[in-house]
Amino acid sequence: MSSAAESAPSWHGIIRQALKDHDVRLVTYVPDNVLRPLIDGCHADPFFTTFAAAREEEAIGIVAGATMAGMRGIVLMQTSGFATLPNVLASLVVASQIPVLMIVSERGTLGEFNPGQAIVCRTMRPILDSMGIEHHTMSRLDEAAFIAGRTMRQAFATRWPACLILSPLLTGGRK
Amino acid sequence: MEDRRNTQVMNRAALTRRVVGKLTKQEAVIGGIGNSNWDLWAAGHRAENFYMLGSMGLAAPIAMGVAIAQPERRVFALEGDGSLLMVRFRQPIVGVLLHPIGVLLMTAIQWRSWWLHITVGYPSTFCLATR
Repeated sequence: MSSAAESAPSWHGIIRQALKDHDVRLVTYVPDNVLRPLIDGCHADPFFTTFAAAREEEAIGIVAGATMAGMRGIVLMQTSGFATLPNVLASLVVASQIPVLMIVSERGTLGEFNPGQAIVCRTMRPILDSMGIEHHTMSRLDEAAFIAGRTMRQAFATRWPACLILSPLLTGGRK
Repeated sequence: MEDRRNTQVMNRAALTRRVVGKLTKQEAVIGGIGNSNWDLWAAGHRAENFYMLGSMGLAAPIAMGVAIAQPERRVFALEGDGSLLMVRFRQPIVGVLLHPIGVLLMTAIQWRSWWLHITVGYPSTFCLATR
């Protein structure tokens, strides 16, 4: 990564720094185009152990195991991938109070063409709310460092999962 | 089975007790959903056990996470065959990923109806599939 790219603030650079600041070293993800710069940046940085999982729930299981064993981690996914998670969040992560972090790139809003994605998107926040999982939607670059950093700090301090939702307002969304 | 006189039916609970009895180095053991868990508990509780409830299929991914975080510790996952089927692409992922860490051996043993070995070939984590 060039120094010019490092110096220009970007949502993915800010999130990567927040992960480092909170010693979150394990990054698992299900590939997504919007998340690509964050995923690529983590792959390129030897601070992180970064790899793709076949399914989101598998990624949650891996991060849950690592977190219990002392290595903090995060799962990156898209909205529809998050929608596959309620059972494992409720029965593993919340039930055992494991501070698993999640980042969801939000689809289904602000110009979505696919009605299925639009409906799935409406289920995401109610699912998180129903389990008491702290979530914040990041929509502005100037707030990104504060929201990401504070959300991670609280997740580990209170030993509770947390989710950051990346609005298309922040990422530009799907082209 | 009946026509193979040199075979015998293994008992899952007895096998779990045997595996747990061999653990001497604070190995982590992740019990999969249902009977894998009950057998693990019945074999004698250990502080290094995690009894996974509810999230069927995730015992091996959890074990993989533990192995990534603590590569020096041996990690075992006890899984049922149905659980293994739920996360179908786990073995290739485990194989690719844990190769540099060098901690994972997955061997699935199934009995009563047939035998099945899924061996990835890394020397530390042992995934026991039982039914």
